[in-house]
Amino acid sequence: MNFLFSHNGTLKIILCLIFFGFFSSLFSQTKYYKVTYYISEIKLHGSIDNLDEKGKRFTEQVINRAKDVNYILTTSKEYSYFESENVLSKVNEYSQEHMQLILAKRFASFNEKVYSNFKKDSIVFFRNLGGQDYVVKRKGYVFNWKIKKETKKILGYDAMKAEGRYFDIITKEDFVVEAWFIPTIPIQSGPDIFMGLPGLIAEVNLKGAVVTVDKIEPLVSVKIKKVDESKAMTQQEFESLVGNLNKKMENYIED
Amino acid sequence: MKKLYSLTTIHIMLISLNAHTTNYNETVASKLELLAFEPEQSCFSFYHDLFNEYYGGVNIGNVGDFNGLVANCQALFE
Repeated sequence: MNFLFSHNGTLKIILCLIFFGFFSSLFSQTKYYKVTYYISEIKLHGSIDNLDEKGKRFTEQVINRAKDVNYILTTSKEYSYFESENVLSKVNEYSQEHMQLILAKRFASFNEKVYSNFKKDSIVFFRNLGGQDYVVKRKGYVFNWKIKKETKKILGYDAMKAEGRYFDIITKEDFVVEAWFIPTIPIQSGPDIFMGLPGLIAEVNLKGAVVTVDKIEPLVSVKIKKVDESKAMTQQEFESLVGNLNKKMENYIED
Repeated sequence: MKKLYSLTTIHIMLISLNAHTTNYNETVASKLELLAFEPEQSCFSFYHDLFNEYYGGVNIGNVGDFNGLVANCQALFE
């Protein structure tokens, strides 16, 4: 009997070694990741109490619908491509579901697509302003990340907290962004423009939403989508455009 | 009421300003179609209230969605 127990124990150790050996070899080969994010929480600028009954009911549906909004990041150490999953094409354009998904997506206020080249410290993003799509190429954002002591588990990974700041030229506001990154995945990518930490960003806490990782898939190979940047404007041109558009809008609202 | 009328025309203004980057005539025509509604209609005020509570109002970053949503809402309910 004792022999059986000790035999079983040895077998367990061998199986554990094979298991860990397999996974460590998989991760050592891992050069790419496909990361799926979702909107885990939305934050209203005002209050649901200020809405009428129809508005309150509708808002509750929007909050539930937010969980269906997914974003996909494909990344290596050198490049990344981020975009929202095309959920809108799956539903009827004139359905309430479609309208609620548009509203839910807007809380994160992400760009349509973001392509990053970490080697060259450049990003190309696609932004819709006033119903018009623009392509902008610029240097990566500087968030002046400050790494904090707090940790938490996200999808079973140990994540560390960091805080950064950035100025949003569209709303002309300075924001604090809280990010949780995974040091054991030493890739400086993250959702949308949020990157530059010593590990994959698993969660960002933004002004309008919390966006959290839903799935991390290590891949041995993947093609990271490149974007057409031939018509891209510079950051300076983009800032000038935003300034003009904001001025027009302010003038109209004042009038 | 004046404010509501102003908001409906914002998008037209933005399109005019942006026209140098795209096919001007085609864009303006399609956006004018989207804006072909009466400002006092309920879809407009419904979404206007939502945008205020959700995002702090209509701005250049969300005005495209705002117009699209109002137009779709009208197609459904008005």
